[in-house]
Amino acid sequence: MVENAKKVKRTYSRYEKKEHKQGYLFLTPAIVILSVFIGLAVLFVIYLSFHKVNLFTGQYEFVGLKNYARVFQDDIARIGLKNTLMFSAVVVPIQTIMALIIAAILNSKIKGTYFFRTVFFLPTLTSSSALTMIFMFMFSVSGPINSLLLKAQIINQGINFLQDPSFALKVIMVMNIWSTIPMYTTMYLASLQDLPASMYEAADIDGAGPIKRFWYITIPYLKPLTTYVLLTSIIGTLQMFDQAYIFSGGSGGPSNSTLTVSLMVYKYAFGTQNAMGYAATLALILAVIIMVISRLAEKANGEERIY
Amino acid sequence: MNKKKISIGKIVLYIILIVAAVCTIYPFLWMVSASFKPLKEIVGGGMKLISDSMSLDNYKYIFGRSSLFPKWFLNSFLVAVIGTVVNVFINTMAGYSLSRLSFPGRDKIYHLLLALMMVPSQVLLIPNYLILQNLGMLDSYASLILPAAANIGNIFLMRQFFMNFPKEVEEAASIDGLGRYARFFRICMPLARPTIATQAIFVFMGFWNEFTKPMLYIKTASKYTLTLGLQSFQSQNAGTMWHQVMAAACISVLPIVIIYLIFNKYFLVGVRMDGEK
Amino acid sequence: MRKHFKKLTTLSMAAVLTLGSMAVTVQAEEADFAGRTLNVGIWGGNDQETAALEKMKAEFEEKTGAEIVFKTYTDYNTQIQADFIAKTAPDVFYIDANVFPFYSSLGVMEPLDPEEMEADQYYENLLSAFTAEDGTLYCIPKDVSTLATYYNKDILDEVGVSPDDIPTALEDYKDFLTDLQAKLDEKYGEGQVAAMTYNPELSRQIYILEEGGASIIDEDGMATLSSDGVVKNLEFYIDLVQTGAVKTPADLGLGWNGEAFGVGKAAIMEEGNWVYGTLKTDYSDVNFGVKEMPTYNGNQHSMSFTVGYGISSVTEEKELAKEWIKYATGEEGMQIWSSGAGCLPSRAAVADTMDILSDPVWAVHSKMIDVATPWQRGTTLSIVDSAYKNFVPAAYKGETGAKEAMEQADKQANSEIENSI
Repeated sequence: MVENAKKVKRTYSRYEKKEHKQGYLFLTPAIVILSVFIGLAVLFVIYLSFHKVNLFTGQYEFVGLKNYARVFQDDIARIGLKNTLMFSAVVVPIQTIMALIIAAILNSKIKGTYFFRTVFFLPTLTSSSALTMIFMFMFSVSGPINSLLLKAQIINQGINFLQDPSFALKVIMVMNIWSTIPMYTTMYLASLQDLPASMYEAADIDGAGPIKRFWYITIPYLKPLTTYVLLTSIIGTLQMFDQAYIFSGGSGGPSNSTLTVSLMVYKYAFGTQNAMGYAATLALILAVIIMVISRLAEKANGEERIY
Repeated sequence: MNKKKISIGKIVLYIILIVAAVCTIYPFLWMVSASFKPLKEIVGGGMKLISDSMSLDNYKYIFGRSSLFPKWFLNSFLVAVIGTVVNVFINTMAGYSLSRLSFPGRDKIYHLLLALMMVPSQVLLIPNYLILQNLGMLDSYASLILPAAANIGNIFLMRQFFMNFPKEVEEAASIDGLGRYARFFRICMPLARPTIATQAIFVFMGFWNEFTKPMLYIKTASKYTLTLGLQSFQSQNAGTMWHQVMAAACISVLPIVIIYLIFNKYFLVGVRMDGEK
Repeated sequence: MRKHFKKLTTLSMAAVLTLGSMAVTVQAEEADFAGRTLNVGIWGGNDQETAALEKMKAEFEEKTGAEIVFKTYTDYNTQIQADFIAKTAPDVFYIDANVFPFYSSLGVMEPLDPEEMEADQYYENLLSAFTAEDGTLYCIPKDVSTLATYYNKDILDEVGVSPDDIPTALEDYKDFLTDLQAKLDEKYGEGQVAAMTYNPELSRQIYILEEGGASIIDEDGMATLSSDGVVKNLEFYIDLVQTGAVKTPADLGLGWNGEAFGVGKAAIMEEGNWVYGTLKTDYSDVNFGVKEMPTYNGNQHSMSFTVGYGISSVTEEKELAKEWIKYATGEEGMQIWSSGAGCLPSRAAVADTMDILSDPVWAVHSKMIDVATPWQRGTTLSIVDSAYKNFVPAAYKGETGAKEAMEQADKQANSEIENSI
């Protein structure tokens, strides 16, 4: 019915023109809000990134690409980026796959789905400070995780998960995965409500088992939503800030193991050094990296069908 | 033979589900239980959920702390409800437009919107503050609602939803003589209920739990939202008062639980749409 | 916008001039302030602090006829920066000494006249923490807190150690704590109770690190954590920590010393007087005693933490703001504040009137004021502190040498400092 606009110059029919008008009209409220409140701010940030700024006194000194050049010589930024990418590379796939599987299970005809759905939604409601405290307690030297490992004789001395550079980021990964799966599960579940029953019925007739059905019907059907989950999860993990901030008290330690790019951005933007220009530059470079990775993920997830 | 295999599979499934459920529900229960305990018990008590020293003291303390409490609750509720309603319409319309209508520049706009999501928010705080100041909106409810009246993530979610939406449904309505707007509001939106409900609950939670915006924009104590008001009790001096924090968290989470239970009907029942007329 | 602002400045300038010329009469004419409003930026405190502030507000309002409106900051640093940038800051606000150098360097605060503010009434080291490099005074300290040594009498008693056995010199801590830890392990089980807790942060250790003329920051604000003197001092403390008798609260799965001490997981801690109130209300069954901080290298040390009031440079209520500071940090107001909120007065005279020495805990904390190093060291301190926190754990655990860890910290801190110049 509707074709993708071809790149060739062409005249549009009356019907098409009407649709163009409708398209813009439906978008207008969102565009107005987003350009005023986010678009302008982003433009300002871009402007800042070419300046050395003191926002307090209103002094702007144009420095060209100096801030950008600095990022590429900044060893700490490299460490921050490495941690951030590692975090994302571990969390995104686990999050997505687990959410997909749990949603598929909860959507099957087993008893008690109502109960399980409600239970699995609860983490999204638990306050983040409560979560952090519970996790810090669980992973502390005298905490339950350590005593479990000790009892099972996997280790013979308590591990200081929170202070050990080789573990700190992993603890944050676990926490992040744990607390975001429910959100994506809920979204998958909502989408599965719309899956035409006839598709499953047809598969049943063909004698496909549950795993085959999951693989050949559920996953392809959920593809557009998976694009959404992947992209938001990539954006969310690459912008990770809160948990790193709470865990390290803002330092990114121990030994830079929890330093993320967003944490650096915050430190420069709100530190006591007037480095807003550099913070803006770091933020923009992170945005570009996120953009590239998102694009790759979108491609990898396959082409979408657009009516 | 086949039947037996399935039932073993089911048992395994249930075991997985139950283990996952325990892992999931435990911190939530711990939070609720901690809200009834004295500080010492929380700090030193480890993972226990029930203890002898539980009481309503923390709640009494919080409710007694400020006479503005009901006002804050009302503020949060108004902001969240208005914000959610506005969001649902704006985001759904935009998502619909970006997936089912064809017009020049559509995909460019879509990618530009996505790009806006990618700039980390820490660096936008001050620019946003200055924008609101110039619009004269500081210290008003509008400063909490308007900047969040559209949400790129949810526009994106709705776009992805409408991609799966069977076009035959709309075509049928079109044959019946319904125009674009009527089709959108009378056919598409109602049929999108499960996804809209998902969107609504997350938007509502976003408004309800929002802390940074009210913290920066609201100056007058009587205009505080619940999260900000509860946070303003926190002493900055001697460590975290976990007993009060947990009670405050429970108070602010309760309305969301209620709303979730109401909306749950939509998550669960949904509207099975089959392609045929 | 800018025009409007200019007008404001001219107006307030004019106001300053007129008021300045009749400075003598101003104080007498208190009715001048009737009907005016003063916004005071504070951060949240416990019930007692809130009550004390409310009492001060009521008294001040009655005296002057002005209205006080408190603005409570929940994330002070983020909020006040936004406020300064947009010029929406309250007329008068709290400033913590450790961020004072940054905010004073921005020109967002009004200079204060030491004579008019009776500067000579305050402890000198507190006042110097609020004096900019050029000698200008910008804030008046409203109170002060110091570190002292807290010990759990019952726990020590259980293992047959007397509080008097706690050495007065840090040099003797190693043997004492090792012995104590062995006894605690035997009594409560391996690793259940730590002999002492510590914080690997500059705000608690700066005086140790700088003992003997060492310095963590040079005159240009660059980090010098890896300088020989600092490393030597750090090695001394690492040696103490590696006995296993000294742990961080996080090692014990807890948030801060007060929690570890309060739930009986630490026998000794060094804490500020803010813990006194918590111990009384939330951990009331802990039977504790307080003594002076240990000497190191023969010198008595402690840390002091002070908060002052500063006036916004764009306020239209400059005189009223000064009046509030004079009241709140004057004898009358400070007495209400200190006795209510549970902190030490920053004026010696008020400490005398309050008879602080009659309470053994306050007496110790009060005694520490003069020997304490104020937590303030120029604009780069937060960066250096953050780098220290970042790299010192590896040194404490023995994974890297002290020198190496501090070199890494220096490198990081100095690159951050350079990035922002």
